[in-house]
Amino acid sequence: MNRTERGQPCPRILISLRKPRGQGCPRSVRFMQRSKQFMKRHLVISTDPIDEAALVRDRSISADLGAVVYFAGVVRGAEESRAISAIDYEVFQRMAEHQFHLLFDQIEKRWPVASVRLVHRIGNVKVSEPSLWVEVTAPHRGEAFAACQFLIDEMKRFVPIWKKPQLV
Amino acid sequence: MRINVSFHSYFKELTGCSQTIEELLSGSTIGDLLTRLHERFPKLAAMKRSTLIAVGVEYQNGSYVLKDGDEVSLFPPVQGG
Repeated sequence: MNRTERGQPCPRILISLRKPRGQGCPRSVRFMQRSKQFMKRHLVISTDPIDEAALVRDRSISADLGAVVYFAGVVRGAEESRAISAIDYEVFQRMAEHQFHLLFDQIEKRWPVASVRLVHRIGNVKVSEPSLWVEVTAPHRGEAFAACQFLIDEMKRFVPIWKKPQLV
Repeated sequence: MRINVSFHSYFKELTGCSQTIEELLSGSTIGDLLTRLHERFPKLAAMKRSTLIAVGVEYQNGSYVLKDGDEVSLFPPVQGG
């Protein structure tokens, strides 16, 4: 799997965009013109428990935004039909952070997303506790759902995190 | 040239170590490194079809030409989430 073809994280280059002529410019296009270069990113990879209530409290959205999609991945009580008590997550931290930012770069290019927040817990995570929390904010639900789904799917292909189930 | 190799996840158990150093001739590729490692660690050879390879923090494939001091990581498919 060669990621070099996907390129390095794109440099933050400010581009002067011409305002489209006429009426009816979609809200997402106007949003992209103003905000696309500044998608906010928040990434935490930590052994600390994920505090969903605090993450929701810390959310800030502007009047341009109409969609907040968030997802929590929770440890199930079974892996391959065997009961488990927890999962030990291992990470190659430096590479994981880099690969997450490559995915954020792709989201920034593809969708008018205002912000992405992602928290991945590592170490020992017990059954029914969240190991992953992802939030995407955008003008409309379509791009928010698509970007969130993309991020989770691609994370499972490229971000070097592994799990070791702890059997009961 | 000296290449630093790290193993992650259950590859540490297959090799019995988390890191090793290999001395290779200048111009060697990741493919050459893998050949050497598979001789040293036969259990790793059994996983070669599902081995992911990174140099530094970027994924690379077998044709990548190594440089002295490169940090190569080998690991199984990732499973985050």
